[in-house]
Amino acid sequence: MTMDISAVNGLVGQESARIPTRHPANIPDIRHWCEVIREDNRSYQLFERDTVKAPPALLMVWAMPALWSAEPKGATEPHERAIRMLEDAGYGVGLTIALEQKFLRPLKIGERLSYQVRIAGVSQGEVVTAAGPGYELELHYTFRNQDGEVVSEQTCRRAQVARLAVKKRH
Amino acid sequence: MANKFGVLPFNSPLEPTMDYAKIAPLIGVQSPRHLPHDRVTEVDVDRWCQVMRDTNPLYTDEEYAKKSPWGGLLAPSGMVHVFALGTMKAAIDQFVHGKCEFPDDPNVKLNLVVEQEGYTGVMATAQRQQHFRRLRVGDEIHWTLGIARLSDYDHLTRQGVGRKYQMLYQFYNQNDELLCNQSFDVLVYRAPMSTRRLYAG
Repeated sequence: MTMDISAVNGLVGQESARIPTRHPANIPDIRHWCEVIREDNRSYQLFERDTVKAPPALLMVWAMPALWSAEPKGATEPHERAIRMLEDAGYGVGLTIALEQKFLRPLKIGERLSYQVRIAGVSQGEVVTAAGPGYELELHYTFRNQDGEVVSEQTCRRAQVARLAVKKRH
Repeated sequence: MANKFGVLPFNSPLEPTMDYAKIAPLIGVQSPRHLPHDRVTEVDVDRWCQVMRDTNPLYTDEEYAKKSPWGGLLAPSGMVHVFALGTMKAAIDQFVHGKCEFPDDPNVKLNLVVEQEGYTGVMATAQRQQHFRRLRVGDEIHWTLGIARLSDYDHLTRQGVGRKYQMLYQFYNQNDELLCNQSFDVLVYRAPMSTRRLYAG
């Protein structure tokens, strides 16, 4: 099964508007993170007193969309429209297959973040992935703080496959 | 002697069961006040509202909340127990290694006795909260726990023979104002397999 990729090609190079994160870099999330990965079990009072920087990996956590919204937003940004086109063509399962993260500096507590997504490329034909045949999208994320300063750049390769192919064990 | 259906005569001697006197000293005793594992924060309140799909602006809209009679962001009252829950380390210590965070608390001592008596199954059955004061973002919720009552006879339940006890949580803010009384009903029963072994996998 293949699709006409020209509509998705038309979106390559386009960048989204700045998407704000839901919460600033904050100490309670850092404390939860350290507790869950069993790195640090100090009390919240010590975290409040001593924490000035955030672990870099929390950047992706803060950039995650809301679990639920009273007013769901449609697919308006270029990367959302590209993914929707692939889903409508039958490639309904999205998988992140590679993620390269560059952290330019530690995040400070209280920084309000936003990110933009640019479509760097899309495969021109169906590719065979470990999860089954599909199309690959390359997305480039740029994260900024409230002053427009770039704090991180990330490249994400995403596969949209028709269904998850599970290898038989024997 | 049991009849052919395994039924004992009515005037048979009572079977041995838990001696209530072993836990009587623990009834009505409240633990010392414990600290929460987190302050009430805007971030946690927002996540709760996401999961519960609660759109009340008193919880998430700071501008709206400042103009309200409460003068600032509130937290949903149902969240009060969240801040008394232990950390992941405390849960692993308790359920995997058998080490309780507050070993002198009356509920911990009670559980040791009922386990020794053979009531190794545990099931939470009911929770009721009585709220007196709103929770505010920024509050530090101290809590205390006690045993309000325990059955002095066995019940026959779907889980088997068991006893019911009721815990009483009391939640206070940093100004020593009582926020909530919470009763938490538990059934302990004679289980075919130890509950702790089930948790340990």
